[in-house]
Amino acid sequence: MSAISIQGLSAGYGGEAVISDISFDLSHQQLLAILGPSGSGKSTLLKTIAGFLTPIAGSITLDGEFVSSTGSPVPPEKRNIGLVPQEGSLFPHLDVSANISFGIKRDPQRKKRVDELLDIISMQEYPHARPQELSGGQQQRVALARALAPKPKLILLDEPFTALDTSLRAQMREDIRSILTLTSTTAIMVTHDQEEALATADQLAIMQNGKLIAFGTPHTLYNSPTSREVAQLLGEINEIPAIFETDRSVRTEFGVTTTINSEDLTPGEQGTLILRPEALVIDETASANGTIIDSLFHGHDSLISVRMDSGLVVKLREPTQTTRTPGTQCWVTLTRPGTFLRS
Amino acid sequence: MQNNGNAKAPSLLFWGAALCACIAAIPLVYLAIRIGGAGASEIFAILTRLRTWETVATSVGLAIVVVVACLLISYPTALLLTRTKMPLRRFWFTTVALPLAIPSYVAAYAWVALIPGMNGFWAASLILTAVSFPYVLLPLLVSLRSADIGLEQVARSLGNKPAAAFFATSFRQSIPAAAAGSLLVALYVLSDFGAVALLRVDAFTRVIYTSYRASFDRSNAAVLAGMLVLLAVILISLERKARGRSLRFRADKGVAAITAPKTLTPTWSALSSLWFIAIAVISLVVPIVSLLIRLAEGTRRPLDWNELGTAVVNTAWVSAIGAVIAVLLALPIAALASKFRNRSTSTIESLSYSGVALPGVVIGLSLVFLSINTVPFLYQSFALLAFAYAVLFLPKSLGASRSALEAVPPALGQVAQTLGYRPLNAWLYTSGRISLPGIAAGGLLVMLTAMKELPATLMLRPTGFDTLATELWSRTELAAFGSAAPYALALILLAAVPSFALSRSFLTGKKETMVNA
Repeated sequence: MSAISIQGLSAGYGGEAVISDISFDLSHQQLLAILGPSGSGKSTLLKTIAGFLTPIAGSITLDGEFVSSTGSPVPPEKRNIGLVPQEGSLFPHLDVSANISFGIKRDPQRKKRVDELLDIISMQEYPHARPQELSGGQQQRVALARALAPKPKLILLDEPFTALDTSLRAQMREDIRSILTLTSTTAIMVTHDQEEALATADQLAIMQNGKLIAFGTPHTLYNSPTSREVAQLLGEINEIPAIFETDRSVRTEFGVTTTINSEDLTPGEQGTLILRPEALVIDETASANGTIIDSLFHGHDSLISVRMDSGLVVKLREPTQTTRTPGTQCWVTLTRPGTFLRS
Repeated sequence: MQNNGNAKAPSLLFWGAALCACIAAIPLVYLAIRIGGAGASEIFAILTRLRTWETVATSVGLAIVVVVACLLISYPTALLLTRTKMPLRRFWFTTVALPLAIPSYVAAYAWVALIPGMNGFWAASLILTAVSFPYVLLPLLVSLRSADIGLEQVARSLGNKPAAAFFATSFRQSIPAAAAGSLLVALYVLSDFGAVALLRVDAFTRVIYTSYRASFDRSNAAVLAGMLVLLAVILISLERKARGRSLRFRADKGVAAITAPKTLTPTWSALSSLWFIAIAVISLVVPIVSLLIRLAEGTRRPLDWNELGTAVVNTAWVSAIGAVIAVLLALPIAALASKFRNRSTSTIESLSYSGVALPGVVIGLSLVFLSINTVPFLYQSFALLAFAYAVLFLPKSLGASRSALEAVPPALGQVAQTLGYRPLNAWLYTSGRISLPGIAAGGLLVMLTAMKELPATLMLRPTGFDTLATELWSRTELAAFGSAAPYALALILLAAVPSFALSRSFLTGKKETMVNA
């Protein structure tokens, strides 16, 4: 049984759908990241799951129980879904432990539970600190502990890292991941940062214009994207004109190479081979088929642009070792299979 | 999940707020009913009466003279304070707002006590200018202080002389602020009762009051009140427009260049000091010294402490109840307006702002009619007086509650709900709890303002129930000037608190609805 199952969900404001026909299932103890540009409807989806918006159509099932289908939805306070909003979301008039115990005031074991959670978020020393005295990262950890306190079936995280400095974000991502794992919590996180989504999530849902355009593991979606949009949202791509031949082989100007996908494709079909920059290699000593036109240094690696003799421009990524000078002749080849998309 | 703009408001909250707004609109609605009841021919007769138009001319003329005088005082004053290193600049900066603390009828009483026989149009112009010019000066100070000097410097570099550069840039930027302030002054003059009544100027408020007292002609009072409300509504909508424009001017200022204030020559220093001294003498020193003289004289006859004490207790008590009612009426409306913005919620909000357009004398009149005709047992009751205060000063409480509530991120309430709190409890434990100090401050402001209210109190108070304002009033009517002084001083002390709050929030640049003052 899925932790949460969404079927044909449409929701919006004043009868007008902002998100439409969303369906997916998420297993227990998984972290799902919903990635999409602003305005893609990811926050609306989160609000609908939390119960602040009534769906126009479709259903939401938590642990096999309908919380929302056409008819009267379960109100937010009865859903047992935790929420961690963006920033400044701690109750400013309460200290850390009062914030954490806010949702378990009637629980006789609450003191024990608060101590336990303070321990999990490594803030045992600050039970009586005021939110204003905490760093951004600490505040978000307390907000997470507050949401975890009533042992919810699901936690929703709404862009939990946007308010943090870049240097803190990576650490926070790890912290939150390990806290969620430690407490065996199922979670859905909304983000517009592809790096964050790829690095944190078990499952990835990509939204655009109110629709779910892809769902899968970060690995699958990154390496074998289902569409050009999905490919671009997850990072830099090369689009190489190609003709499908037979059984996973395609012809490009770099010669015959293999594809990851082959279903529904017929021999002779025109299309594009999608390849990540790290799937190409460069060699300045072999006989040249192109010229380096640009090299962007990123520290750990470099992104190099090459104009092929055919006029096609490709980008490739390599660990920073050699200095690549624009104007140098070079040889480029493909080393990994790509995804063939028909044009 | 911050944006809640398009969500639908819970129906309980929506209808609760609508009910509160309707309650607040009762005086306005009843006034309309009363005017309608007068009949077309009678209304026509009143509208064609020469005396009616004399009243309009007097009120409008008074408003125009006072506004022009305020502008003439405020521009040089604001320029000296923002652009020069004149002597005692800091001191004057804080002093210029003080006249706001003197209720108009206290100032009028003080002047009349000093110069017996002082009355008429020009006396009223002088006194109303002296107590209301800060309404123009304060926004002007803010505007000139935040005006982008960079533009002025560009104008200079393009060959303009300093004065020409100023008029081409900063002056133009200051026009919306000055316009908004001027309209407020006009509104203040139109609704003022105490000063015009004491100085025997037949402006709207005084004519309405005397028509009402001469009970044979109450339709006349109602129709005139209707005309006054109409004028006030026009002024308010103009003020809203002007203020909107001035905010836009500030919104896109970016990082404004700041100019170094000019050093003045000794002659100019002396002249500018004289200017400020003259303003302070007319607006502060004369009234206060006059009151102190009267106080000294008055003590020849011993002050009746008992009477003063009763008046203080009465005033505080009825104003406090009025403030509580105002807060209770304002809360649902503020909760609705701070969270859900659409056409129907803003209608509810503007309906509850009707107190701004209703001068005290009009609210008093309407509630007198209402209570006599429909609920006679409330006529001249404590409850009705408190209710009048609540309606009259509801906008203050609404403004304070609303900005306090808006400061609370909506996510907090949502978090509380996901933690198992039902919507009302979630609101009470988060937004309600966090904004409590701001809401309470708004209530206190209502109470302090209600304590100096005069015309509605005169018309609605229970027989034998005296407040500070009515005590002062009846003593001036009896020409018992000396014994009125302690009441006048007590009123100034009371009024100082809200006017200090107003000028501080203005000068520190908080979003302020000055129309509520």
